[in-house]
Amino acid sequence: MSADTIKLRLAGVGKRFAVAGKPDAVAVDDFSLDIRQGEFLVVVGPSGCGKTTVLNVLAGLDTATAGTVTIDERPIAGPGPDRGVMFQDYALFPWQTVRGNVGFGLKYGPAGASLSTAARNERIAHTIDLVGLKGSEDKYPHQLSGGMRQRVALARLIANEPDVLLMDEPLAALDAQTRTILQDELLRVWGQDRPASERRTVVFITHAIDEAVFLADRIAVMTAHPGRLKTIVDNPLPRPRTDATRALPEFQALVQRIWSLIRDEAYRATVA
Amino acid sequence: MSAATTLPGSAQGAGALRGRRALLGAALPVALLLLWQVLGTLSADPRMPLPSKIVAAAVTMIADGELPMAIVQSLGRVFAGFVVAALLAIPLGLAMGYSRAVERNVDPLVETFRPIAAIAVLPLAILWLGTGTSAAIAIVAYAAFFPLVVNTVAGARNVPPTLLRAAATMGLRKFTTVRTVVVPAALPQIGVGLRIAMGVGWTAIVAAELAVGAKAGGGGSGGIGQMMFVFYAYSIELNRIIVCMLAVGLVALLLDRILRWALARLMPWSAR
Amino acid sequence: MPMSPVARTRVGDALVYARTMLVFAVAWWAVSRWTDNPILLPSPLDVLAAMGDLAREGELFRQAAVSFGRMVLSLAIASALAIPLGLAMGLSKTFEAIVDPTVELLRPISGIAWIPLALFLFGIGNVLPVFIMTYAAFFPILLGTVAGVRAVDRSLVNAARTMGLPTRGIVTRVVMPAALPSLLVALRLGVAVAWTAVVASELIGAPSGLGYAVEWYRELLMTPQVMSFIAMIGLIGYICDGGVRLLSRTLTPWAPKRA
Repeated sequence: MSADTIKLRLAGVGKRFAVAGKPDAVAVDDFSLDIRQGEFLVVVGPSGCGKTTVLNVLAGLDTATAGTVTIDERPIAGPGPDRGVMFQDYALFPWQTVRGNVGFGLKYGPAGASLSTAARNERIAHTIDLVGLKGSEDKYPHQLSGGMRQRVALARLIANEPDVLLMDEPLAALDAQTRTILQDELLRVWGQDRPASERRTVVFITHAIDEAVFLADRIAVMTAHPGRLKTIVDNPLPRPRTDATRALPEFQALVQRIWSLIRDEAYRATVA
Repeated sequence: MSAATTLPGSAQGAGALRGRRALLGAALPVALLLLWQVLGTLSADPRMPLPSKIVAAAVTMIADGELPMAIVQSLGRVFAGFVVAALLAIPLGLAMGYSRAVERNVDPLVETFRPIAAIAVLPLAILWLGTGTSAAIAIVAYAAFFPLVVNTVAGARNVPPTLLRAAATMGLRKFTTVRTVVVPAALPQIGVGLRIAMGVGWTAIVAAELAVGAKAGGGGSGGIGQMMFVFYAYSIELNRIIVCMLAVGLVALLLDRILRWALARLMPWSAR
Repeated sequence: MPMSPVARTRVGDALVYARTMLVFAVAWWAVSRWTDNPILLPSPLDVLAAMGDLAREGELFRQAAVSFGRMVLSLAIASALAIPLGLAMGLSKTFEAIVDPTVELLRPISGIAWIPLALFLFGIGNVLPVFIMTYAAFFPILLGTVAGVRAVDRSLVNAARTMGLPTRGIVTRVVMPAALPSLLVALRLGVAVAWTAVVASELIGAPSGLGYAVEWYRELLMTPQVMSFIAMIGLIGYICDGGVRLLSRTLTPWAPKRA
């Protein structure tokens, strides 16, 4: 597949919620976006702009009330193992150890159906190693720090080897330092050092603009009430990106530009 | 909280505080027992129970195997009834918690019979099953059934939705989801139900044995409740009645402790 | 919660309830025809007829009133003892340290286990069921009060203190209202255990009341009457529980709703 293949397509997507006795609440309105194979797309916007709704529609956890959503030109009808989701609260199973959580989809879902037990265990061990959790395999989620839980969620996501990684503010609950470290790791695991054709497609939601600029190939900027796609910003910053990237004047300029796009709205959201 | 009055890290201070608490706590029971002993000795009634006589009675009753035998008999009935209740209530509760349709149709029956105390059903149980062991087991099962159903339903209903969504995005089938997500997520609440059920089951067996003893003219069904009634009705041995009461309390306490320990072993992931 | 579909759901729930109970009644009726033994299993129609007779003669309500009265009296006594004690235990660490072990020693001994001793102390009559029920309801109310007082937000107390309230004002204006929801939950539990205990104690040690009536008709092998009184026990238990919940909603409209 070439790098220009369209992986996910949202065409005229809308989502309304019925509220008894009131006009329907419009979460997302006329949202159209093509997401390319292997690209790292970040959606930014103020809270309440419908970012999570867009992600849930892609995941198949929510159904759009208007428009079409496709993956590889097939309509999305429900959740499936081809699209892995990393949830904002991580959604780790508290009764499973790190190993159990990472291997959950391989063991109980279709992702590992074709694998032998040995191959499955091998992949679990490899993934745990990849996210730097070696030595914590037998710990339970409640014994882990926030950053470690986030790593478990990431490992669980990639262990299933989905075509598309959907991430809903996965770093929002972390402190600033842990967050910076995990941004680096996320790009490494995604494969920013490898050729673009070997990368997986990522849709990443955040409200932090610097995070969006650091991670993304393209940034979709949303505005709220109703949730609409305001513009798509191409991110020319070279890969691989490192700590040095954050210090570049271009980095700061891009952050400023996106901030200016949503500033008024973000301000209004704080007083609404 | 005592932590507010003790400096952090002063283990010695905490230890001393605990020692003081133990001393204070022991003072009242010891004082009451002494008062009882002294006043009781002054009493002219030879049937007057005394702490010293109770201890002596306990020693004889344990030594001749009478008390342990009765307890074992009652416990056997509680376990039998408990197992029957668990086998019926837990699958039913899971079905009700997971499926709205099942819940809606079955809940009226549960809610209609739940307010009817187990002891109230005893006369019917005696009518149907006689004054023997099976009636007693039926009463325990009836008593234990409702807390188990209600707690299992609550546990299965309150599975965090994000865990169910995580399972869906990994492509799990319905039955696998129930087995790997709903059951473990409901387990802590089912554990609460098991503890309550064990408590009410033990209370019910004592009541059932007492009532059978009182109303069926002694009978040969045995158990600790019946033993108490025999001591009352045929010999007015108050010391022995009190030994039985203490045994009832002690067994209740031990049952709960053992169950709590077993549940903690079963759920190593729960923080407490 | 959406507002308008609630009414429809309520009617729907009532219909579903009626349907389920109808299925149950038909199944019961079929089994009763099959066993063909009116003492062992009378048909639901016989039970309804017996219930009607008992209601017309007034015996059903007379016995219910006796049992209900005993329970109300017991709850009043248990509350009068347990709430002040619980407040004191919740407010004073030292007092709690003195009393708590004694409470924890007595608590596992169920009210029902006191029946033989109470039979000796009070004989068969009114006092025994009231004693057993008071004992049974005492512990949940006490523990609920202690837990409620213990859980009072320290900053609320501090806020009142900065506003210059005296200690008595803090207890009556801050601690007690804040502990009230927890206390009412405990009262609900107390009602449930007391109502269970009333049946057991009347079955064995009282010459009147619903528990007594159930046992009386069992000895006469009048099963439809037995079932009528059992149904009454369930009905009153249900109404009492609803009553306490209504009381909770009325007294503490600010508290989060619980199932």
